[in-house]
Amino acid sequence: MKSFGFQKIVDRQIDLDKADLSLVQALARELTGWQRCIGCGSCSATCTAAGMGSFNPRKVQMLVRMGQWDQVAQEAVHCQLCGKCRLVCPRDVDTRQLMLEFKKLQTISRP
Amino acid sequence: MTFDPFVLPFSIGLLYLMVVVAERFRHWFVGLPPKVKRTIGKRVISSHTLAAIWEIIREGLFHRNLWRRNPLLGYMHMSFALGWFLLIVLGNIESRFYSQLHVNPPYYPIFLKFFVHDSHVLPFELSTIPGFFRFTMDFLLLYVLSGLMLAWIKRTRSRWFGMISTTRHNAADRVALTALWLIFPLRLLAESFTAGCFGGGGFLTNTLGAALASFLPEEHLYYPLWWAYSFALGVFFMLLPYSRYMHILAEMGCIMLKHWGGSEVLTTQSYYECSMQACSRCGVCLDQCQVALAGNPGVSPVSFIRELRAGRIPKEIAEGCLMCRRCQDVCPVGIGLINLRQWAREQLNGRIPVVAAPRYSPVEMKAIPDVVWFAGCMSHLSPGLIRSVQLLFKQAGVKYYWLDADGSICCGRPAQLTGRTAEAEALIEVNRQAILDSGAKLLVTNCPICYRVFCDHYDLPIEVMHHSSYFLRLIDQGQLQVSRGLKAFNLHIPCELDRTSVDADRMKLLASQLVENSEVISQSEWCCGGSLGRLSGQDEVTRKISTDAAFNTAQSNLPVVTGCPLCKKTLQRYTKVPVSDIAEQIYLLSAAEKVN
Ligand code: SF4
Ligand code: SF4
Ligand code: SF4
Ligand code: SF4
Repeated sequence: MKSFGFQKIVDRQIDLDKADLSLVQALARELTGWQRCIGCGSCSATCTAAGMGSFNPRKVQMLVRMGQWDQVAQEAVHCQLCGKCRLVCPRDVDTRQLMLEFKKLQTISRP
Repeated sequence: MTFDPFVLPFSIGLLYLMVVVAERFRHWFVGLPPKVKRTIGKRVISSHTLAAIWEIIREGLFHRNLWRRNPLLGYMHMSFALGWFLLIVLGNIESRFYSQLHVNPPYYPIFLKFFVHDSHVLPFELSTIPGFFRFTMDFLLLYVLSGLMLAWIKRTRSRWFGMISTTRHNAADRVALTALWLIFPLRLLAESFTAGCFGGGGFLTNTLGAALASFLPEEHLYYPLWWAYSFALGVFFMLLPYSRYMHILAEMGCIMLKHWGGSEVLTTQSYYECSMQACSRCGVCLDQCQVALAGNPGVSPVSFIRELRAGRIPKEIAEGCLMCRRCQDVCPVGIGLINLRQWAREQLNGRIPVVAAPRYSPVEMKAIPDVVWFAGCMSHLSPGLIRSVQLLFKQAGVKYYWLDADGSICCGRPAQLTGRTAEAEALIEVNRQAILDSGAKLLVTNCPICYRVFCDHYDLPIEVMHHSSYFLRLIDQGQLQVSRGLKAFNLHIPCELDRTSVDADRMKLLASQLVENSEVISQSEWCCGGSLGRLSGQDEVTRKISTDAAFNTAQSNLPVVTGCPLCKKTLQRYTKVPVSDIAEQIYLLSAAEKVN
């Protein structure tokens, strides 16, 4: 297949019926402001860690809403907590603060 | 007769206090790492002990630092500490004249006036030794009572002390406070009534006793008063270890630890525990804390430490602080407030950290440079700053290697501030290696946040400079020509540069070399509010902090010049006057110089 310039990609469908929304609910109780995100991607454009690999804070914001707890925790590990995202966000979302909470997810057992 | 049952409350209280406090100090000492213990062992018999004793006298008794901050508060604390201390010492010496024993029970000097009625000495007779003591003891009592008056006024009218608010107390504090406030008035009355009945006493107690004797049945009252006095002392001693008054003893412990254990002791669990007990709740930090001023007083050190003492680390208090150091700079006890907050964050966020090794290899280097330059994440959001620095390097003919030309990874300081120490270490290790590999003898950074961590945690064998210091050096050495062309402006000192350091002094010096007339700079030491130390970033309180900071920095609507890309961006959001980095100004001036 490769010689034709095509490539089979991994299935990236998300089954929303199996979404674990407890994270969103917990976030809604604990933190404010993150709902303001409009997915503009300014954070990803400036993100220090994004420049080093596939990490993408905007994607993490989306994954949270889609209830993908495991992926969120795996992604957040790469954030360097530098705070550039917070400075550029047009909607005043403290993405760094969210990442800090998500970093702790792997060590916290699910409800 | 040298015993009476009324001395029992006092004696039991004192004994209890001594046992509890000895146990606490033992616990702190045992908890120290072995290395620190060895250092202490070596230093016990050395000049360090003398230095520690001197500091205890200076700060514990005279409260020099507090005097400097707030003379009225200084007088209040000093009258209690020094007055009471001298009462005890002189009382002990005085009692020797009346007792034949070498060792008196501890209550004897305290209640001397009950046991001994020396009516041969006249109240104002100063020439004899007992007369001198009599006079001095009364004078000291008056001195302590004057401090008590002030303390009482401070509770009700804190603004008279130039303080916006006073501190709140818990139950043990309130009872101990009441006991403390009663001790000296009761002593005055007990001694006066005894003098009224049996003679003796100094100018104060004798006069008061005689005056009150005319209409009060002193012979029935004096004995219950001695009971009450002893009882107040006993209650105070019993509650002392559980109340804010533990600070009297813990402060001494901290000073001794600091002098004996050196810098390593400052980040040990024992020192944290001791120093959180050493806070006197003076409230000086409260008026410095911008988070408190913006309407969240719970974050200020005085409240934070109260929570720590109760064994709690509330998230919003530990994480709400800007880590701006303004409180630490003024704390008269010299508590390492930033380290303490850092420790609390490590407890909250640092547990079982999952670390991803940074995927990163730095840009290629062509030749061994003079300077390795690390602009920093935040500088990358300020292209004007980057360009000015590049052009200045070029003008000065500096061979530099731009380590983070392609964005690089973070310096590790922001992660450290969240308490994720292990993650910070991972970043530090990668950057450190890249810096060493460059072979340069000097590291220059534009970001005070990076500068802080380079200095304090990278353990680099080369010199580290913030760009303000570096350009000052280049100007001094004649490598850069700069005209004094700047009009009046407001200089803003970034927190992470550390206001009390030589770096801040150098930045001020540099600023004064840029203006036509050095009197036209005003200085601001307000935290911009964008600090990465505040972990919950963007809410009303943060906005209020930044609004206040911008208002207080941009005085007379003059432009603001700072030395930190994050401060620059943050302040610019909250003020209409132009905000720029000092490097940008130097570049403009040096370009002007070239044209001339
Ligand atoms: S910059 Fe702010 S609004 Fe835009 S995607 Fe990131 S968090 Fe959302
Ligand atoms: S704090 Fe994390 S998510 Fe935000 S810019 Fe830095 S690395 Fe990216
Ligand atoms: S932390 Fe320092 S300044 Fe603040 S109340 Fe305690 S002793 Fe005073
Ligand atoms: S470091 Fe700054 S924000 Fe934090 S408690 Fe001290 S003064 Fe307040």
